[in-house]
Amino acid sequence: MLSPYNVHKVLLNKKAASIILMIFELLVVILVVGMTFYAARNYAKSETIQKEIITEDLRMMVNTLVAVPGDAIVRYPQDTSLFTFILTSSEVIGYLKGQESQELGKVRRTLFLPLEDADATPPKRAYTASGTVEGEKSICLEKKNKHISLQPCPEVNITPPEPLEIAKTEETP
Amino acid sequence: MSEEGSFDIATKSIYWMIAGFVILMLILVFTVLMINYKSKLLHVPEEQQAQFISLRFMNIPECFAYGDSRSERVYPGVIDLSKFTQEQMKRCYPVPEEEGYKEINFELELRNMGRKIKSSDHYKIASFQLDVPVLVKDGEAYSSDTLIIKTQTELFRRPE
Repeated sequence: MLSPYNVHKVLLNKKAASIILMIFELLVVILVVGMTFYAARNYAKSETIQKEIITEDLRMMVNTLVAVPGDAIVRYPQDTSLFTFILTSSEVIGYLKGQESQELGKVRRTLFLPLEDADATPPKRAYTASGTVEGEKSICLEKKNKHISLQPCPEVNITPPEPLEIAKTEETP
Repeated sequence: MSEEGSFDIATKSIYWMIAGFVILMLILVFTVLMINYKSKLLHVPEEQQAQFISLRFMNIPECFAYGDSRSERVYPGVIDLSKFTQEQMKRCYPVPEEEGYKEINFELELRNMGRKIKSSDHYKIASFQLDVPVLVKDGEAYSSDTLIIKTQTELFRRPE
């Protein structure tokens, strides 16, 4: 019986078959290399990577805010609507929205905020942090007194200032 | 089975054995490459992390910055020498003693004053150091100094 596998034996001579096979192999190699790059590119853009990057960024932002003597508010400059973030005084947790039950998918970054009394049990904190945001497009970290909170960014309506009226001076001849 | 048929089967099985091995190696290499690529993407320079954490040493009164108790004004960059103690360091950067070696640890030194303090798991394995010019308040006197921040990055195990 003539199967697709041995069709070349019947229709093509040996040299032609080997050239076709070589072209086919080259095509497969190009396809595999292309797919590898595509997979790597998608992986780099994937939510898994983004989740880890944003959680690490939040940790660094908290560490920076702790070192600010006054009050401050900082907006995270990226869309975070696919994720949930939890901030506590000891860690930042990040995971994909709706996957709170999957412990393996959670990214945890520890924080060491200054204490008021290190020998007390539990240690008395000088600085505290708290807040949860789920599927928020824009998130902010706010430091007020000695508390850092993670929250959706407040809407700010900035109205442009009215143009100043410049007094016309009469031209003197 | 003809002689040609059995030769064909033997050739194919050798071919697939080699091909299977090559494919397995390719998958392994690709996995290693992806893991390396991921760690490269997520890498944050330790110097940067240390710098963000160490900002607190000079800037807040809960660490070493001088704060006027009457006006409640904080003077960032001014180190209160009376606070520059081991106990204050423990309060300022409280790494857990049992697994603190897995975190960034610091040793602080005031160059001119010659005073040193360190966080609980600093084993003098400093990876790099940051030099920050500061003012030191000793009682009523002020003097300029350099705060040397020797940073020990994450260790895999506690040194003997």
